[in-house]
Amino acid sequence: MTFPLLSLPHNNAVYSVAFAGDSELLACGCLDKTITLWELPSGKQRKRLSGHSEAICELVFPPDGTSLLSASLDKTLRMWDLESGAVKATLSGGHQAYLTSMSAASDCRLAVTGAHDNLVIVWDIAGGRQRGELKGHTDRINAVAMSPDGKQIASGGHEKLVRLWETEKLQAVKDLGPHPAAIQCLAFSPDGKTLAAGDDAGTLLLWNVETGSKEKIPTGHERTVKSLAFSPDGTRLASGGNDTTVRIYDVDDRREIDVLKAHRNSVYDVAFAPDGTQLASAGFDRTAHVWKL
Amino acid sequence: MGGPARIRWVAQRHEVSAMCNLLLSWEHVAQFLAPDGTQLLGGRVTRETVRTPGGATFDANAYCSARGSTLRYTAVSHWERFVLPEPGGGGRMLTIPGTGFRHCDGIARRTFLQVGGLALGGLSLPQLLQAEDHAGSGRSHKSVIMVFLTGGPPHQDMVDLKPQAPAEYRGEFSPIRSNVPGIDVCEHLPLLAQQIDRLAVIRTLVGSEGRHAAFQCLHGHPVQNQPPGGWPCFGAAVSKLQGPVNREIPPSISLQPRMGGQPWSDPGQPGFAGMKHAPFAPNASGTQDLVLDGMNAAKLSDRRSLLDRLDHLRRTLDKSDAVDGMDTYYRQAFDILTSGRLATALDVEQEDPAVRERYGRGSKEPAGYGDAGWLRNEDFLVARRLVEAGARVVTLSFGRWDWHGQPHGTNFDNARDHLPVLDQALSALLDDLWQRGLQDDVSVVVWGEFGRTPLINKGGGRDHWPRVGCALLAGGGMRSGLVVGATNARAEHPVERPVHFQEIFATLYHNLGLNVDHMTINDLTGRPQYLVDHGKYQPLPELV
Repeated sequence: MTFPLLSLPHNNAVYSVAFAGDSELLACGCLDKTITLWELPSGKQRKRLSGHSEAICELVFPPDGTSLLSASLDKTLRMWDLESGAVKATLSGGHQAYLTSMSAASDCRLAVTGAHDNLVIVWDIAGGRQRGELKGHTDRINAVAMSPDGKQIASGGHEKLVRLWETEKLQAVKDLGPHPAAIQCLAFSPDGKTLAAGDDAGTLLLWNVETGSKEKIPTGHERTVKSLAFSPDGTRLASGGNDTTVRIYDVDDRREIDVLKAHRNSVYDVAFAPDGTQLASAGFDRTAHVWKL
Repeated sequence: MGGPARIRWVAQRHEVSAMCNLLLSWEHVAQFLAPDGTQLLGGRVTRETVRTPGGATFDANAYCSARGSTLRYTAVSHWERFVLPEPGGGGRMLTIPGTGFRHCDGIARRTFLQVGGLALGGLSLPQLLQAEDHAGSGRSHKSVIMVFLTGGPPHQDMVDLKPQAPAEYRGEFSPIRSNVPGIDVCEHLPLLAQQIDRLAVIRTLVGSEGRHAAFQCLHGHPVQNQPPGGWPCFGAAVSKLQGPVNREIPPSISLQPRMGGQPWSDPGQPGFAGMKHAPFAPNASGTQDLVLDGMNAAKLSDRRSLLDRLDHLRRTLDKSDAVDGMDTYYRQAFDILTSGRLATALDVEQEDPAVRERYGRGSKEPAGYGDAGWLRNEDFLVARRLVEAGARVVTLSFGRWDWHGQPHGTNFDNARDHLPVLDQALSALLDDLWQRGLQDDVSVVVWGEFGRTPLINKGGGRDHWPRVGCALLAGGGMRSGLVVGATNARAEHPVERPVHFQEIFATLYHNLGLNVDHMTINDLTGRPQYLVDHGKYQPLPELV
């Protein structure tokens, strides 16, 4: 049985986790509207960032090593200076309902958000402005993903299908699905060729982005697959579920290879460390765990 | 009717000349009046106070849900009577040593606020003492602990699970057997499951007005159509009818913290029972750092130094003639404020560590997304200490149970968060009461303003469901280990023995020795008002 290396307690449910590029810092976004920065491997709390007015649903460390990008249900994105803890930029004015998901290209120049207003928005992070809106969804969006090169976007939610978009043209390319239940999480593989999608029925599908074909990964999740992440080398996939477990899969073999049990509530986010040796998980049980793989 | 209207005002008329004056005059009353002059809701108004050369400025917030209402602000009636002479005017100056900056009268800012905050709880004490004499009370000490599950708990996920219902109704949880054959409860209540023999499970609570507020659970009546003066809350009514048990503990105490959702943080209104019967609300008035934070050594030190300062105040007063000529009851109020017994009862750090561990600590952080109260297990322990010390009614709010679903966590995410904490705190309280032999003297009720929708929504939440809810009752000499009422196969409505909110209140009044058939309190027109709808509701015969 695998035990967590670190268990980091929070005041409220943890919604999001992200490793900094050097794997020496972990950011955790909470329902209590704050972001906590933890030093690794010590587990010492370095800073707590306040400013959002709602839960922090996603976190991304840009490659500059000095910043943190956060997305909140409060419909804003904020770029934080890690040293001072100050907000360097705020992007807002796009969504009219809860912003539930955000994903960024690996260079973090572009990001995409999805919200309960059925809208997908592409953001020019470097320029500090909105790049465009992707309209067409007719129900709430729970998950978005941007391919590492920033050229493709995937979005999904209560319509039970995944929509692929071309970033440059801001146009829908194709729909993937339907899934048996509402989409809850999406993740592109590092090469951008595969899209993993999890839903409320506990289904985990790998979509071939080019052909639209799918393969189901047998998963032990009993209910919702809430969060997904590919390892940096693309060989493994991690999922977090409402059944409180974190599960690791061998992508090539399409099989589950490990089950991580320590959370006592739904697992809202999972993230691999940049070197692939560790995994962080965020739980509604007010805890973030760091696991050695 | 519209959304909450926030009214802010500043009163600069009242001049504060001495600490004594603050202690006695900190109470202010906000009354909201409908256009026809009837009172809608009242609220205690006490926040930051800043002394200025021209007097004291009171900066307060008040809330009312009715548009077009007006706000009437009054200071406590004895304000003018007890203003001490101005410094330098030949009068005696009372000063308490402190560490913060000093005002022009020499009163340290920190001391000023903290003592003032404690005085807030004691403000009505002189009047309460007066009431005690008038009522001739203190002969018995039955008490009630009311636990308000803020926002409406999901009855079908706690004590009325429907495992045979379709998945979209039954939810994620499984029932477990309790120590009473035939009574199953949620798998996340394993400790309570072993104490069901001490509980009466009400599965058919009806009569909710569907309002997101503590009002009905605290007052027993809907907000609408109140008599002149407004309904008194349960604690205020008991205070009015029975007075305090002793001279050091207010009869009615509300542990509700301040919350973003104002109707939830209502500590209970005094209504036509009169402001003097308003519950003492230490957490609502910003005195947490005075008496309720047992987790911080620095604050503990502050608290001890504060008590030292209070002792000093009492010695100073004893030596002076400053309080001579005051109303006897005010002198007694000083005794209460300076005896430390109330502070001691509120201070869980004086409790056996093993007992504290049994209850669990919880958190002072707002539960959920921040508009409701905290999940603070120690409030259960504080409640037990308070009733043991002499309080007749202690109310507390626990968590945030308004679980509409994503993106703020599904109903089941939140239930997995809240239920184990409630399980620990409530089972510890029951253990504690039984071990101390208080099971016949202390009644416990746990409930919220309504139940939740049987059909799970697409965000994994359950919405408001006033048609039926649940309640747990224990102690007070009531029969237990039983279920009252039954709902249909999807927990949508009662099919057997609906139990009205007022039947619960009638039962609690009964347990305190108050006969709802005979006891009345006059409203502001002088018309006697029964405690529950007369002739309509009685104590639950299944329990008493």
